[in-house]
Amino acid sequence: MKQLLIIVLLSIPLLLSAQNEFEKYNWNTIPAQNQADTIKSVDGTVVLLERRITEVYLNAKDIFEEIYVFHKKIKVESHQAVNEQNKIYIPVKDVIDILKIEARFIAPNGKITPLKNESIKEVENLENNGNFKTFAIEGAEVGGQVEYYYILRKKLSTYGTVIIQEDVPKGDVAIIYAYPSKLGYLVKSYNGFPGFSRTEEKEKIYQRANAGYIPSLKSELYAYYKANLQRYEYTLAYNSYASALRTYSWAKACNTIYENLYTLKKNEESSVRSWLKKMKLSGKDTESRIREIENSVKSEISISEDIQQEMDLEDIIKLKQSGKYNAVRLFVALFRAAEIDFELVMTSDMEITPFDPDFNSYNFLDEYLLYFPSIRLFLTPDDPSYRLGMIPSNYQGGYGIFMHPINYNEKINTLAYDIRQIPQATCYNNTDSLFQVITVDLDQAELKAKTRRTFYGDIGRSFQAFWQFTPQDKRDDLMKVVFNMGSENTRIDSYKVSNEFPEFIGLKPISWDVESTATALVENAGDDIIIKIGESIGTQSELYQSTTRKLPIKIDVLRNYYRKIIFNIPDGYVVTNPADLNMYVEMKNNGKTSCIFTSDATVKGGQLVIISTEYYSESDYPVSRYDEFRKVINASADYNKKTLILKKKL
Amino acid sequence: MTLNRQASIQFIFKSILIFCLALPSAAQPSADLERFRAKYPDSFFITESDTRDITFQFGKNGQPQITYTDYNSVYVLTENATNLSESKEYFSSKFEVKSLDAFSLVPNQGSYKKQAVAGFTKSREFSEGVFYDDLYAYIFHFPSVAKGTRLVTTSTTLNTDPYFPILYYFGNHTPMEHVQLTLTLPEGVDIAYHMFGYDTTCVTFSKTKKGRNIIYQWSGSNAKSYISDELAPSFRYYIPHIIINIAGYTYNGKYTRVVKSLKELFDWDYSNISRINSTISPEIKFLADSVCASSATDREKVARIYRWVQQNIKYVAIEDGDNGHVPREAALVLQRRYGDCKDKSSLLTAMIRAVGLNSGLAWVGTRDLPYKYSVFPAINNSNHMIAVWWDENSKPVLLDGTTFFHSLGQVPSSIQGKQCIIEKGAGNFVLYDIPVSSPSENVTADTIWIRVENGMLKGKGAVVFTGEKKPLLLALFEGADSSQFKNILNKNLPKASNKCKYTSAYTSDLRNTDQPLRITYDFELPDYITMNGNSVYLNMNVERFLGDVQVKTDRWLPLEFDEPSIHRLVCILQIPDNTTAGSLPENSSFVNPDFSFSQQYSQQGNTIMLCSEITINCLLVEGEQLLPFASMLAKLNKAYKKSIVLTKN
Repeated sequence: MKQLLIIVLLSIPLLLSAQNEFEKYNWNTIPAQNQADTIKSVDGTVVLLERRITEVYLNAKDIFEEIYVFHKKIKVESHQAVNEQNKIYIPVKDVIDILKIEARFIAPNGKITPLKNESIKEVENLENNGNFKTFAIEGAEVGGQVEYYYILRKKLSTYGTVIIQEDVPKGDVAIIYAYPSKLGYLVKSYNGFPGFSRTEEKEKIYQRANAGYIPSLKSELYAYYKANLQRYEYTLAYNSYASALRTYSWAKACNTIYENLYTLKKNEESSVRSWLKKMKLSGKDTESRIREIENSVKSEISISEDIQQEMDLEDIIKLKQSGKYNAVRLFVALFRAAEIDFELVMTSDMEITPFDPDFNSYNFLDEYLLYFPSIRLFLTPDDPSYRLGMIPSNYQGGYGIFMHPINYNEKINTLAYDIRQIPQATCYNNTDSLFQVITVDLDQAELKAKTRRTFYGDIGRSFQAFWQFTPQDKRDDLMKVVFNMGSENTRIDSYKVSNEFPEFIGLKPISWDVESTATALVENAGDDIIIKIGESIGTQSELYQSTTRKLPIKIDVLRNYYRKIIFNIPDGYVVTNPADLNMYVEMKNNGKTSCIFTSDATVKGGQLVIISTEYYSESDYPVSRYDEFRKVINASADYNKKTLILKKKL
Repeated sequence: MTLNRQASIQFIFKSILIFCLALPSAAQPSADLERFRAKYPDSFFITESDTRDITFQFGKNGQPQITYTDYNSVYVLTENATNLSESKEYFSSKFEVKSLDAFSLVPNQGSYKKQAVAGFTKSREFSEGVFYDDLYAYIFHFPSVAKGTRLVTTSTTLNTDPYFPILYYFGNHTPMEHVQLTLTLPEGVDIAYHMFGYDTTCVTFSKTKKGRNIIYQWSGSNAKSYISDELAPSFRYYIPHIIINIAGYTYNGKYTRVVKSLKELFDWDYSNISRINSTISPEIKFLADSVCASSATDREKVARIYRWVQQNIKYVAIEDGDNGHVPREAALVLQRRYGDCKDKSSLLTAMIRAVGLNSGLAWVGTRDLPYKYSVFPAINNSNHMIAVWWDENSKPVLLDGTTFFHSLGQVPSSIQGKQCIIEKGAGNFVLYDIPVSSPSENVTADTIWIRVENGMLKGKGAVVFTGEKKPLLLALFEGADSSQFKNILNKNLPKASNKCKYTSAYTSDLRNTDQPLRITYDFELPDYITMNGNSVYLNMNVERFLGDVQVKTDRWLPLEFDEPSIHRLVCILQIPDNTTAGSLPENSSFVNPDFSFSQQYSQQGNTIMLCSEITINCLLVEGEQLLPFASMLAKLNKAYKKSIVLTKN
C-alpha cells in the first residue's frame, strides 16, 4: 500500500495554537503506577512501564506532523536479560527531527547512570531498513532497570498497527493519541488490549488506553503467534479541514488504486501490447491464456521487494526486472490488454493482522491477489513461487476487498468493491502419497526401500518453486531430509523426479521414485531381528513436550496423507507382532471427523502390508481442544516408534 | 556518494577490459553457451571470470596508494534464472570505494548488448553478534537475467594502509573458469605471501618485469564448487586462497619496513595499545582491591578479577573505524560496564596490574582462522584479544573476558591449538602456542538406572559435565526457572527417542562454577521398548552420541569438533523379578589415536550393565583419518543396534 499513499494532506490554512503538549515530555510527565513492581519476570525481564504518545498538529507550513514519544522501563534480573536489553535501536525512518533521546540505568542500589549524548551512534540504512539511532546502556548490572525515552518529530502517520504484547510481561502501559478536533481517528483494540476512551479539551481530542498488566506470550507450534498478540489498529478517518467525508476508507482506496494501478501511459500501453503479441495466446481457453501470461512474467522478470526504482512498464518489460508493486501493475495491464476479466483483491497477512471487515481503513490492504470469476481461481501476482489456483496459506480464509472497474459515465472510471472471504484450500487439495516396498538385507543389517512419493497442491508447490534453482548437492541434501528413514541414517541410492518445474505448480503433482537404504533400522536381539518399521515414513512432527498451551491452534496448510508400505518378510522368518502397527486416533468436531491418523497392517503371503491414512480437514481449534489435537499430531510420531519382531520359523 | 559520475568514467576503462576477456567469443553467445554447458553440465551458473588487479603507487607524502580493480562475471546457464538478479557487494570502511559498476551483457542477435544496473542501495550490514560495525554493502539488481546472460560487476577501491594484507580466494561455491590476481608493483616494493587451503595446484604463479614494474600474477581455473557439509570447519581451511603482505617499500631512497616478519606485526599491534592504560585510575585500583580483599594467593586474586569482569562487563562490540584494533581505556570500560574483547582485556590487565601482578594483552585468531603467526604473520591472523596473567612460575595464564563461566586456567576451545602474541611492553613479546585440552578435561559422564514399569522404560540419571559443556549449560540454567530445567535437559542430553520425558531435574549449586556441574533427573521413554508376548525387547543405548553423524563415502572436507571430549554412559538395567535376560550383546570397540569407543556389557545377579565410552582426541579429522573415522561410526552404529530380550519365566 505504501506506493498508493504518497498523499499530501492538503488543508485550509488555519492557525492552531502551536503549543505542542508532549514536545517537552520528560521522565515524570506521566507518573509511573507502582503496581508493576509485583509482576513476576519471564526470562529475567519485566517491562515496568511503557508510554506511546502520538500528538498530531499543523506545522507552520500547514502540513500535518506528529510528535511521537516512546518511553520504556525494563527490569533486568539475569545476565542474559541485561545482555538482551542493553542494546537499543531507534528507527528514524520518516523522522523529521529527533527532539530528544534520554536513557539511564538505575542500579539496584538506586545509583543512576545517565547515557552520554556522544554514545549515541547513527547507523545508515541498517540491513536496508532505513536509518537507526543506536546506543548501549552504560553501567548496566543484574537487578537494575534500563529506562529510556525519545521524542521524535515525524511525518504524519495516517494509519498503522501497533503490537503491544511481547514474550516478556508488561505492567503500566499507557497509549495516548492527541489531535486537533477537526481531525478524526479511529482506534480499535484487539486480543484483549483495553479499549480507547475519548475526551475533548480545548479543541483537541484525546484517545487513551491504559493496561495495568499484559502477560508474556511466547510463540508455539501450530499457531499464528503475532495475530494473537494484544495490539491496536489506528487510522485517520476524518479531516474536516479538507472535507466532511470519510478519508482512508475502502472507497477512497478504490479511487487511488484505480489511478495508480489501472491507468497507463501511452508508451506503457504499447509495450504491454507488443509483449502480449509475442505470447502464444490465440486459440486457447481463458485458463490457459492466464497461465501463459503468468508463466511469461514470472519466468522472465525478476520480481523483488528491493527493486524500488521508479520504473514504468516499458522499462520493466525491457529490463526484465520489477518491484513487487509494479509486478501487480504489469499483470493488471496484461490481463486488461488481453481482455481477461478479473477482480483485484487486497488482503492482509493472517499471521500478523487478520483482515477485520468491520474496520474500514487502509490497515489491512497489504497484499495483492487477482481473482478470475469465470474460472473461480486466484493468482498471486508478486510472488514467483506461486501459480494460478494457488495463493499463500496466510491469505486463505481471511477477508479481502474485491475490486473491479466501473464507469459512472463516459469519463470517470473507478473501482467498485465488496468485502468477501478468500476461500481456503481443503486437505484434498494438498496431498502427500507414499508407496513403499521394503526388503531386508540381513547380512548388512540394512533396509532397502523403493519409494514413489507424490506431492499435490501446496506441498508440491514448495518443491516445484525452488527445485530447479537448487544446485545438485543441495538437492541431494534435500532428498535426505525428505526421504529420511530415522534420524538421518539414510542413504539415497538413486532418485528420479518428474513435474518439477514451476509451470506445473497447481497443475501437475511433483513425484519422486527413490531407492534408498536405511542403515539404522535393523537391530538384533539374540536370534531375533527387530525392524524399526515405523521410521520408514520419515520422522514425523510431534508435540510431545507438554506445556500449558496458550495460543489457539492454527494449521496453515490443510493436508492429507496416504501411505502404503509393503514389507517383504525375509525367508525363514515370521513377523510376530503385526497387530502392534494398528492405530486409530481421531478427533471429532460436531460429530464429524476433523483430523485423524490410522494405520492397519495385514500379512498376505510373504508380505506385510501397511495402509495408513492421515488428514487435517479444519484449520482452527480453540485452546481447550489442544489435548485432542495433540493426540492426532503425535499419532504419526508414535507410529515412528513401531517395531516389528521377526523370529526364525520353527 | 557521487557514484554515477565515477561509474561512467569507470566504464570507459572497464569496457576495454571486458572486450579483452570476452574477445574469443564476444560475438557468439550461442557458442559460449554450448561451450559452458558442455564443460559444466551440473551448474546453473558459473563464475566466468574473477580478477583482481592491484597497483601500488605513492601519494603526496609518500603514502602508499594501493588500488584494487575487481572484475567479476557470472555466466548464466539455466532458464528461469530470475533469482540471480539480486546481488550485493560488500566493502569494509577501510577501503574507499572509487567506483562501482554493474551491468548485464544480454545475448542479442549474435552479440551481447549491455544493460546497466539501474541503481545501488547502500546498506549497513551487521556481522552476527556485533552491535555496531563498519561493514557495508551495495545492493543492486541485474536486468534481463536469462540463459546466456553475463552478469558483470566491477569496482575500484583504494586502500592507503599498507599493513592491511591482500586477500584473494581462488575458489567459490560455483566453478570458476578463470581466476586471476595481478600485482603491479614498482621496483623497491617487497611483498611476502603464503597460499592456504587444500589443493592449490589450480593456481600458477609468474613474476615478470615490465619497465620499472614487477608484475606478480597468480592465475588459473578452478572447476570445483566448494559447498560446506555437516561438522565442516570454516571455508578458509579448504578453499585455496592467498594472503600477501607488503613487506616494505622504498620511497625517495628510504626503505620502510611494513610487515616483513612477526616483529613488525607485533610492533604494529603494539602501536594500537601503547597509548592506553598508562596510569591506573583510582576507581580501578579501588575496585581491584575490594574484589581481591582477603584473597590468600595471587591465583585467587586473579580468579576473582576474572570472574568479576566476566559477569559485570557486558559484551557489546562496537566496531567503528580504528576501534577495530584499539582497545578502550580500562577506566572507560569500567564506567560503561560494557565492551568488546579488547575492552574487556584492557580492564582485565589494568585490574591485575592494580593488585601488583604481571599482566599483558594478547592477540589471537579464533579457530575459524586456520593461520599461525609462526607460519605467516599478518594482521588478519588475529580476530580476538585476550588478557594474560604471568603466574607465580612466570607461566602465561590466558583470560578470555568474553567468556562467562569459564574458570581461571580453562581456555575456551575456540582458541585452543592456535597461537597468541603476548605483549611484554614495547618491542618485547612472546609467541605462545595455546595447548589443546585433553579429552579428559571435557567429560560428559551419565550414569543411569533403568527399569521396565507397566510396559514403559523409566529411569533415574546422574550426569556430570566438565570442561566446555559446563559453561554452556550454566549459561542456559542461569536465570531459568526450575520448570525450564527439564526442557534444557531434553535439548542438551537427548535420549534415543524424541518422546523422552524428563519428569524431574535438579542441578548442583549453580553458583559454584568452579566445580563440575552435576544434574540428577528422572525420565521416561514411552514406546521405546517393544513388548511381544512374554518378552520385552530393550536397547540399553538410551543415549547415542555421534549416532546422527554421517560421513559420505566421497567426503573430502574435514570434520571439526568443538573440543576433544569423552562421552561416557553407564546404563544399569534392573531385571524384573521372575524374568530371564537373553544373551547379552557382544562387546564392541574401535581404537585410533584420534578417536575411539568401547561398549561393554556385563551381568551381575539381576542387573545388566552397559559401559559405553566414546573419546574424541582431536579437533580436526582430515585427510587419511576420514576413512577410519567413517569405519568407527559404522561400527558404533552397529553397536547401537543391539537389544536385549527379557522373557518372563
